[in-house]
Amino acid sequence: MPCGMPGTRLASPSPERVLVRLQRSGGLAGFTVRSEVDSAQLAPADRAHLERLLGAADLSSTPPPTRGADRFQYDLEVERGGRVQRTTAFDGALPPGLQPLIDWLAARRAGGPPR
Amino acid sequence: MARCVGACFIVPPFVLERVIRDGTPEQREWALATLLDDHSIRAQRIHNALVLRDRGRARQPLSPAPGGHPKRTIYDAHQQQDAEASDVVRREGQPAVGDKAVNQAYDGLGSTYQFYWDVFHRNSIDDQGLPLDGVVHYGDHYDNAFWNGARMVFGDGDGYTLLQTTAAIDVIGHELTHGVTEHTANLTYLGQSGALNESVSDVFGSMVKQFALGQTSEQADWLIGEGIVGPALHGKALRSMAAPGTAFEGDPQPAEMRHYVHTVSDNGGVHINSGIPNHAFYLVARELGGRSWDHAGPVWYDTLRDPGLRSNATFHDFAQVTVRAAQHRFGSGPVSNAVRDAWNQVGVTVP
Repeated sequence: MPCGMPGTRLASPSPERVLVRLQRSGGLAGFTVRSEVDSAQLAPADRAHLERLLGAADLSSTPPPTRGADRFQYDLEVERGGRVQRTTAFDGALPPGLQPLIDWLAARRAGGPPR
Repeated sequence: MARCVGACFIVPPFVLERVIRDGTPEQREWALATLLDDHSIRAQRIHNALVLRDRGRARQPLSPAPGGHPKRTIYDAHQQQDAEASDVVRREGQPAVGDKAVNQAYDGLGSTYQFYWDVFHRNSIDDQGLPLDGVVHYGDHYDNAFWNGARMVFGDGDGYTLLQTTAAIDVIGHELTHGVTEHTANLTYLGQSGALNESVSDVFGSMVKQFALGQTSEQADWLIGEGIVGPALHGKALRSMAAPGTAFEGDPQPAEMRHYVHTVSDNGGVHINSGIPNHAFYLVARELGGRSWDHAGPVWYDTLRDPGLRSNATFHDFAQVTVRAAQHRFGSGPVSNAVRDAWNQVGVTVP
């Protein structure tokens, strides 16, 4: 299992192209849902918003182990300038600042298929 | 008999187990006290399992708990993703309210409690009368329900893939059973043991529904989440125990070991590979006929509480314990043969 791979907080907003891929799996239903955003395809305002969300998300922290079952599993991948940062987190124990990024990516998915 | 310490620790656990099973009430009390003084995980597991097993067989409990009545509290999260900061909207004994989800959660938890009590004489999640806390309206269009280690949490669904999750009694039974598993075998939520954890929740969730409807295994639909799937799934349920992989378009569940899915998603495919042990239980119940909770259910329940079942059990480990549990409860014969045959049919070879 990829779990809380070490990384560093991303730098402050930059004009560099960034690719963000999010996979949500698990949950009671066990569906896997994927989202991907390419900053080069975004309007300037959305690009700036994405950079703010990435800047606020602490992707380097290792989330505490969670109790329970049927929680969503999030696998996030941020690619910038040839460097890829990955993190895995579970619903209810997300690293600081990650929830708004997840919500934004989910909202952009706009009703795609659940798999 | 006086409770002894120190020297008692040299008594091997298997001797204590025998005394607990076969001793006089005084000897049993001494042996249990001795086990309680040993704080090792193994000793605690043996102690818990033996106490629970005794209760399941309606022997004289050491400290009789009244039991038989749930202690339910339903909370409203008001669309926030915070299961702790929610308002109480219905307590045990209070009449129905104007909110359907609240009443569904209340009734579903009640039905699940009643199933465990009537069939296994189990007093709630921990067999000690643990209050049942359910949280409804969790999150905004939240398409999930989960057990957070203390509460059963229900989202309203996104209306697209999942509808109101409290609408399916088997889903409520599924979530409560995660608590039961945590208090018994504590199957690690990863890989095969995680798929077993998921399967146990489906197995008991399905039995809760069958019990509430008074269905035989022939009459049951053996579906999980029937009635809460949204239009995007083009299906009838989230999972099918009778025919894993057919519940909706693209259902990834296998029914046999040769189709086991290796993945790092979903805690190692716990909701995918659970199709294999799910189907094994279905085959046992259908082979034996009648009500699933008369024979197949008790075998699975005994397995869950067996001290020999490790937290990181594989499908094969679990299968072996089910055969042993069947022989122990029903003797060598049709039940244990049906259990062995079912596992062999799904590709988990048990001699």
